[in-house]
Amino acid sequence: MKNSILDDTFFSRLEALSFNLKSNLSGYFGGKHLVSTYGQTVEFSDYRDYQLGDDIRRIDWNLYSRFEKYFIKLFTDERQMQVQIFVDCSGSMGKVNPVKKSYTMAAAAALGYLAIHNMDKVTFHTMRGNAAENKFGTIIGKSAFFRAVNELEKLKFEGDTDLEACITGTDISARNGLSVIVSDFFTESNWKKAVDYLLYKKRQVLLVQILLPEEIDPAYDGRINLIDAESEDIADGRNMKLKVNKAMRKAYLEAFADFRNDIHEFCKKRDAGFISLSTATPIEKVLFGELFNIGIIS
Amino acid sequence: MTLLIPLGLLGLLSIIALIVIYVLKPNYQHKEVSSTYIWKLSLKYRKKRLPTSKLRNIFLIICQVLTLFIGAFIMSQPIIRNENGVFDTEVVAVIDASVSMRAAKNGETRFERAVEQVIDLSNRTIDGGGYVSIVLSDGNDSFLVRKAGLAARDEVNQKLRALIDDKYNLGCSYGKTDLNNAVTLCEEVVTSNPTASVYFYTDTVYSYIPEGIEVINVAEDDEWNVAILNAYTVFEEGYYTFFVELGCYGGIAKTVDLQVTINDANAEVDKDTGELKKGQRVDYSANVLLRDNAETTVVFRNQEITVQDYEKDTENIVIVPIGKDSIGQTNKTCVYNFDSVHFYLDEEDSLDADNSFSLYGGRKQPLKIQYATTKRKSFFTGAFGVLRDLYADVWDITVTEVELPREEDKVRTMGYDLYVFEGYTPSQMPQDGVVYLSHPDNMPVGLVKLDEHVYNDPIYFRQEEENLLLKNTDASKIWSRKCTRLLNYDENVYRPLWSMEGNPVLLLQDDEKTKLIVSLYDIEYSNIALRQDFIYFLNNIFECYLAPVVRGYSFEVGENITVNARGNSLTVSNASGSDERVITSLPSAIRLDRPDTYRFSQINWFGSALADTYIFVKIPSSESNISATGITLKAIYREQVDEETYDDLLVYLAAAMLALVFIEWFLQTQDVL
Repeated sequence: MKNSILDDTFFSRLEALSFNLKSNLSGYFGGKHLVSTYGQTVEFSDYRDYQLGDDIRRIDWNLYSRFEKYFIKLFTDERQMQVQIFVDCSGSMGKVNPVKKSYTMAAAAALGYLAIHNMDKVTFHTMRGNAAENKFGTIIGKSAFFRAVNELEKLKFEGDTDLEACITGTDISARNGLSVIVSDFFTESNWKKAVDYLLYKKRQVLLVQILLPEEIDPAYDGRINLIDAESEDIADGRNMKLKVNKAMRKAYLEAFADFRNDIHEFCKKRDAGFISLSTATPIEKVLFGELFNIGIIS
Repeated sequence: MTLLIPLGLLGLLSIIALIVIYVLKPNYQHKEVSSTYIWKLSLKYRKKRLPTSKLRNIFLIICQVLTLFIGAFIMSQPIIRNENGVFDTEVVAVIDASVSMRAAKNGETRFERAVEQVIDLSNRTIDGGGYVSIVLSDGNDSFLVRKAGLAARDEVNQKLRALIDDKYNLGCSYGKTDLNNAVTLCEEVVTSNPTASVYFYTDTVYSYIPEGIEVINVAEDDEWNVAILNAYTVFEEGYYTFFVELGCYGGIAKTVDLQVTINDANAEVDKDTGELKKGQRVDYSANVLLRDNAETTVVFRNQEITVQDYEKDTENIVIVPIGKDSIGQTNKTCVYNFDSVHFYLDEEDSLDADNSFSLYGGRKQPLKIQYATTKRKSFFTGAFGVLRDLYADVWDITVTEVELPREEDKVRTMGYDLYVFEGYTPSQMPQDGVVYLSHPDNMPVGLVKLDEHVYNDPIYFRQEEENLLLKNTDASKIWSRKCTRLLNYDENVYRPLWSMEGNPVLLLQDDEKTKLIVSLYDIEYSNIALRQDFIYFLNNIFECYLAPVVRGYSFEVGENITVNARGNSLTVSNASGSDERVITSLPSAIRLDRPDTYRFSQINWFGSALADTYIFVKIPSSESNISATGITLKAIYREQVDEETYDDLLVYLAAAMLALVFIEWFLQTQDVL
């Protein structure tokens, strides 16, 4: 692996983790996710009275000997979940600082691995411009996953991304799965509509915000011509000249805090998950800390 | 406010530089960031606080501009001139009003010319918005006007015109002046206005004129003057010799005709009546060549002049013989007493105030003393001799001694100015003179005798009151061993002056018509006669009760003389009639302010009219020199205007600059606002 984060040790530690879903899955069988319906697994769940038509092979004869009544043994059902990981491939996610790109890929890969490890299906949607591209198809199995990860590392982060257009333009056929949006959300695009769209599709939504430390607390000072990574040229309107001083920094921090709180409040209202990650924070800490805290994984 | 270095304001260009710096786009550092999204959001937060921030920025710019402004100001050294640093145009004109300024040419005196020029100067100054101060230097220097401006223009002209309007009564004095005194007055003006111009209008040529004074000489060419500078007599070998000092000034030599008139000369006492008969008039004359700027003494002397004597005449002394000489050239009458002498130069010169001179005192006034004593040895006789010498210039003192009791019938109580009775009391006290009873045998009215007491030891006197009769005496050193003790005395009549053990030994009765001095100690048992106190005491009697009107017969204008009288008042008048006054506070000092003959008339305390006293007042001899050259004129002290007339603002500006820098720093630290 090129990225030191996504090494074997890292993935081996993830094997102990699994996703928690807050809704019943209606996906394919063969997964590891228990559902409220009864299935054909070997794990006992409950008894019920025998009804005409039931398979007599499932009558518990031990109970019949004791109660002289027919009871049918019920077993739990396990389904396979589809995890969609939307990766923002705009310039802001890694054009300037490769650390952010690596961190983004690591986060996406880690979430994907958790799904693969739990026998779930994973799709990586790389969002660029107005469209999200599912370059690797549905990934099932670790072999396919690692191949996909290798390809992910080759992705280029450039241009801008319209999150709303990308997500709403994606065919969401599978219901009751997990959709993860990995982005910094520094966009004029109305990503909230995209989230609402996913929720409408009965998807559980997790927003992962990847930030550089300098984006959380910029240490700039003086007169600076800020060049946006997504800008096309120096005259681009997204670039701005600024005299960064104490007051400006304070305003930035306030604006940033409000911005993040806005995402947090939005997600809270819609029972969506939201974590904001700093690339300065080790990825393991994020996965074993932040995701645990919000109950996405267990 | 004034800028000492206006070029320092070029520093204000730095403000332009500051504006340029603000206007020019600063060099921004390029910084690639992932997104400017939050930055743009933060701008909205900044905009929320825009008013405060904008205000701060405005203040910041203002502070910077002001700081540069003050810096430029400091470079240009701003000052604020004090009120006393900005002075009005002011002129001080000093008019010399000494008698030499009365020298005239073509009917116009120097003084008139000076005043006309001052009028012209003052009008020009006042019309130009300035102020005028005028000092009249007449020996009693004072401001005629002080800092007169436009409002007082007419008043100034009026006052100046008043000095010369009456040609026969000019405002010019007859005395001499010292222009250095006027310099002191000028300094009063210059102190408040160091830029004031000072002009002196005078006829004196100064060898050194200090800076800041302009001397305008109002003398004209061709002015000349001959003068009688002084005249006096010397009694030589029974006759008077007359000395007349003449002077000639103005660049010419002049032959003058000196006329001398002696009035009431050689008067004799009528043997029958005892009164002085009218004397004769004697005239002398002399034709004298006076050299320029030289003094010549003409001597009218009773001497036999030989040819050799003529040849011995010096340039400065001309002897005019009177009486008979060996070559029979003259037979003028010699004079041994006279009433007055008048000297006269009949010349049409520029200054006529010094062309005549009068001399008095050719016959002393008599003062009669009767001294009646019972003592065989008395100290009074010697004391009278001393007094006779002391007052020889004014009194012809005659002392009539009466030996008692042998000549008791010769005792007189009338006809004397001073009666001295020693060991004797007349039955009737004199009423026409001062009476001095020394250790009398009988007490006068008002005194009651107790006994005649002789002490074993000397008893020193004690002075009981301050009195002019006791001037220069020291009672504590005078003692006596014998005195008449009084049972009592009338305190309303007598004032004790000295006492012995509480007993009055010297008493004075000094009321309107009576001047009685009574001494009760025995002079032969006292040390007073051996001390100067005795002479002083008798002299004090003269000073208090027999004082001459004035000591001397010839004075100069400007002199202050002390006059006294033997009565309660003294009438003063001069021959021209310009001055007539009655002096009641005696002795009194009077100032002689014009050349003339002054007459003093008086009636003594006892009701008798005393003979008039005459004095002659002449102009100062130095003033006759109308072309005099002064030595130097005192410099006027002027404060240094340039150094003292403004306040430096550097300290205040530096403080303001510091404050602005501090405010700017404070605003910079308030960046978070």
